[in-house]
Amino acid sequence: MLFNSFEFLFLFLPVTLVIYTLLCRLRNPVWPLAWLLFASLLFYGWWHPAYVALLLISIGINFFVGQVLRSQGVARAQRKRLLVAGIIFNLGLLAWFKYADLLAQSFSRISGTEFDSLGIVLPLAISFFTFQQIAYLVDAYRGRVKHADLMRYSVFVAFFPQLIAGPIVHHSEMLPRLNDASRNRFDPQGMAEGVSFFAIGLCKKVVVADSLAQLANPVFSQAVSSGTFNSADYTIALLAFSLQIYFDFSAYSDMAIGLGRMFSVQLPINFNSPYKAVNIIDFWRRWHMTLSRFLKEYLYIPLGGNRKGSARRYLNLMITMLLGGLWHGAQWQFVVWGLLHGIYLTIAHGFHYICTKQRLSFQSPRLRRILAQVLTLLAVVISWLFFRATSISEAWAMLGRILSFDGFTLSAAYQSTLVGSNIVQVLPARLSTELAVFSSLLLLVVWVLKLPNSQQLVLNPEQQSRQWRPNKAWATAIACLFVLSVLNLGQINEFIYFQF
Amino acid sequence: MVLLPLISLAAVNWLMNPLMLFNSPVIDGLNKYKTQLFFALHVVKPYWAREYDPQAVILGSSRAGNGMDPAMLDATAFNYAIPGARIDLLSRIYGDVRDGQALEKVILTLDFFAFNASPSAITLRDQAINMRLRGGDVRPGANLFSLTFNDHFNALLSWQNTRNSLRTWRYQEAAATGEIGLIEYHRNGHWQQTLPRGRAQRENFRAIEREYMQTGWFPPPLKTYTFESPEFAAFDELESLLRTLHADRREVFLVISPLHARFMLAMELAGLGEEFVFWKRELVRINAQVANFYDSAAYPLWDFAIATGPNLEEVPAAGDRATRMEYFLDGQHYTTALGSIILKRLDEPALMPGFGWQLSTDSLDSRLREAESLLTAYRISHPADMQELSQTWRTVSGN
Repeated sequence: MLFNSFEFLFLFLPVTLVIYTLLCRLRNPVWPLAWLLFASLLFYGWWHPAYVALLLISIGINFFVGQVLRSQGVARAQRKRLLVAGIIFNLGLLAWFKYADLLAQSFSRISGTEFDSLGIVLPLAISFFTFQQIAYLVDAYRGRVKHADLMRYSVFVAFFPQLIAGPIVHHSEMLPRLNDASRNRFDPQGMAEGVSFFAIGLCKKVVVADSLAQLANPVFSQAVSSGTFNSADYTIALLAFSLQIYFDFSAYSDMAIGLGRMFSVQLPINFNSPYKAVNIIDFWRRWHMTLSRFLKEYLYIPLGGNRKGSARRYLNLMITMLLGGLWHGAQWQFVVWGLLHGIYLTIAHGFHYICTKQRLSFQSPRLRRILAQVLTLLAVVISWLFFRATSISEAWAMLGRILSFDGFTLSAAYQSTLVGSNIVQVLPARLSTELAVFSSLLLLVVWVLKLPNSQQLVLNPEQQSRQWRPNKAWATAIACLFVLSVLNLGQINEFIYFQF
Repeated sequence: MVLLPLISLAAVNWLMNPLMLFNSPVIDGLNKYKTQLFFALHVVKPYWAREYDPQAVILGSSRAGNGMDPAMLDATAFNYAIPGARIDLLSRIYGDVRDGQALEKVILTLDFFAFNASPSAITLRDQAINMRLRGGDVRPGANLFSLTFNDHFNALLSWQNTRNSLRTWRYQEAAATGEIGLIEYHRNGHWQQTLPRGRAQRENFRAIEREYMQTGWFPPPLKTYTFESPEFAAFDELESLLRTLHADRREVFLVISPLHARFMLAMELAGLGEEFVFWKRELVRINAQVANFYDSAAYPLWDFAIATGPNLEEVPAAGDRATRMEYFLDGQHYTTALGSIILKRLDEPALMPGFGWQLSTDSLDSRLREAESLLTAYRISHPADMQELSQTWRTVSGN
């Protein structure tokens, strides 16, 4: 079930919310939690009922292991072995369901043998709940897990707003809150914030991201060798995809946070205007923040972090980013994407070190900032080519076509694919397709570079006059966004991060 | 505040009902003519089918959809024809109805274009209907309940369908006066198309011939006609469907759709004459082979694609915008009048004996020879049509 679907908006969410609110009135706090768990499992099972069992088994085993790891009566060496076994279990599940086909395919290519797909269906959200539980096990071993019972732990893992595409919630962000009895009261402010976040996210997804997909998909779905498109087409498609994934992920993050707040659960911010980043280090502090946090805490630092000299530091960075890329998908182009970001980070850290060492400064901080932002954005956009293309060779071929500059206007072939697209239909008929596309993309670029993001809008603590407040004007605006979004729900497009 | 505009919009879309998903009242001047429905048939027809527990079902393409009225059968029947349906889709559509308790009879109409394994733009529509068929392709998260819920809500609340509602209302008068082409849809799956008032029928013929010579028989990107590709083997699909029908013990009629003689000449000019004959041979062979396997009689295989009877109906002269043919809209789409003759002929072979015949392994060679001579006779007697078709082919092929 997707958040941007009719059955979620008009059936699942209202029913879940109403019953949850009613159960909150009962003295026993277990009932609302039990209902949340049931609803979350129903949400997960909607995709593929059989895999609910897998989720429950994963939860059960990890909880049990976590309990033993927290126990003081078990020897340290034994606890360590159990931790390793727990991590292997989680990574083993992930490896089998996600990477077995890739490994088999790669092996057959190297050995020259014939390859038959193993036909393994990737369980939804496995990448997310695996990482979440690994973090729990490690912290249980370190003695950092305070409270846990099976019910709350299950809700922590299976909570539907964050289950299928993040954020990767840390147990410390959710378990204590689930234990807090005061959360079992209807919170009008929280509900208003939640609805606002959700409506903003829904609009970003169905109106903006899905419209951008219509610009990107026709180009990426055809092989470069077909010769259908020119460099202008590829450039526009790449830019459109860069914006699509931005709005898609931003939308999902907003909707997840909004849904969490409706149920009095504060999910962590996962997205903070990453295209405003002034360098790649800053980018990774803004993009998929919870994944960055996980990789840093549970991979980069255990590998040694920056504590073992520069060379080791950069190696650790590369390994972390390579694995981070692989986490995104079981295809080699994601590894290349991760490798690119590893290289970018290495260069950025190296540059920062040289500037600090040599005490370099720039005459114009403003110009420096603009240049830095442009360069960072360019680097990120190029890396998206590998993320979206169907293979590494296709990505290189597309990059080659972009740099060939064999066309500065959109080809007739590309324009013909845009005839029914939202952007072309919405803008005035007098406007040519080219102008419609260019102006839309330009507006969106300005949006991502200049406008405040959702959390700045809704959660700004200073409450400036143009910021969100739970009043009638904002309620009307949010209602309009919601109505606009519902009208555009017709074409269901999955979130990009859904497939991880 | 949110609900009021949504409820109002839903009410309007329900009333206008541009895709006939709901049982809304039909109001003259408002929503009688469903001018936006044709390209959504692949989405809505499965829902229409579920209102029936048919005793008989008609499978095929838009030819059967337009020409075969299930009301002509002495049974509760549903016309499950889908525009552009390939033979593999027909197989899946049969899967949607095969568990029906009452189903006894299947009329499977066979079209030459439906056996083309060369990929075409219909694939996306096939995917859309496949997902909505019982036993069809179900993507994770898109089960039948989910799709049904979403499709109905979509029909009430989407901007796309609101546009359909507006356009339906806007074109009512034009449809009623014949200013635009009209299609009347029936819940039993059948539809009836009429040409716009000012359109010459010969122009319609030429448009379809041009379309088929250009892309219909040679769809992009391969621009070829082939019975087999790595992803799809047309005759294997037919064999599989016939096996299923035999296993289910249905009463089945196989019907090669009627084609106007002009259209068959167009096919020859496009270099597909031999493939057409080969196709008929394969239909006979497979029909007999599968029957043999199940130790039962081969299904009656009726060939109405021969240059006799209604297929020779004179096409009005160029510029004649008034005359309408009784049996054809264009070279491949026949009218309900012709469809009714065919349906009656299946039960009463003595009716109009000069039109259509059964093909079997015994009669095949002689029938094919006879069909060829009939078409040759038409070619000789209609030099102006031949010239017109040749000109079209030269323009399209660049020769």
